Amino acid sequence: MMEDNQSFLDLQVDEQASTQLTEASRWAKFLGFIVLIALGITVLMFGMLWNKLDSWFLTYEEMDAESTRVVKVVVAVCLVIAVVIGAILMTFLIKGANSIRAGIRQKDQALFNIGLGHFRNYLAMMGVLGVIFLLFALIGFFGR
Amino acid sequence: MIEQEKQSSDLFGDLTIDPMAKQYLRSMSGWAMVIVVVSVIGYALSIIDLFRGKRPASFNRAEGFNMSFTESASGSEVFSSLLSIAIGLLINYFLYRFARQAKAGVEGLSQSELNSSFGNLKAYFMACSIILIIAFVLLLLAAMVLGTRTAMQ
Repeated sequence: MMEDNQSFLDLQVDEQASTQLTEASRWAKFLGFIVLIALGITVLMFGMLWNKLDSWFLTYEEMDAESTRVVKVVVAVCLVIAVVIGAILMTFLIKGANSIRAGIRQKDQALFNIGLGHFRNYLAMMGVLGVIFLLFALIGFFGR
Repeated sequence: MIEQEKQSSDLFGDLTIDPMAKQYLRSMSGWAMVIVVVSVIGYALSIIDLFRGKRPASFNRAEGFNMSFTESASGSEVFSSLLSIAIGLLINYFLYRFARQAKAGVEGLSQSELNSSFGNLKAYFMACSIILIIAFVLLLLAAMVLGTRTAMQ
């Protein structure tokens, strides 16, 4: 009897919730794939323009051959870090979307919770990155 | 009638927002709020930066002119910055609504608030995807125009 009352009072993944969550996970998966494709194209373009970067940097008076090489390496390292972070973020999003959809379809509570966990990880990582970027922005803002 | 209710219960009644799901939703709501607050502070800084006319100079070494360390924003720069801030605010509005309603739904055991929060999460992902696609298409068009110009020179 108490269990019945408990389940009656508990929040459910009802028809509306399951429709909204299925749609949300569909868009989340789509977003994840778009970002992964965009990251791939960025890396591809960077690879294609790698040799042209020398002449581009050398148009600046302050740059010589040695500093151009250093700047290229720094840009490449930053790009790799950005791509890795982006790929991890989008993996959370795609995994979360897949788990939530499968959880709703198969009525699997554990899978559904795993999906929510992946979405939580995505938002947490975005939040931490946001705080780090805000700190840099504040340093730049008050440092000038 | 009873059969119908039973069927309906079989369709949607099995999945619940159990304590673990509630914990995840609370955590999602908290982090979503962090993202919104951080973004809004960032936008405020950008707006202040834009109108105080003191921004870092880009490497602007055209025809031997000196690089100035302070330069004021041009009209198109102000417009593009304000447009991107407006788009960012729109996206974060959905995230804010998700965070608020998910928390209220879980804390107050309100099914309608929770459902509404999932709708806002969908709107957030949808807005992000559409804006990203538009940006991607514009970037590809710009690259094509630039490539054509370079080839013609």
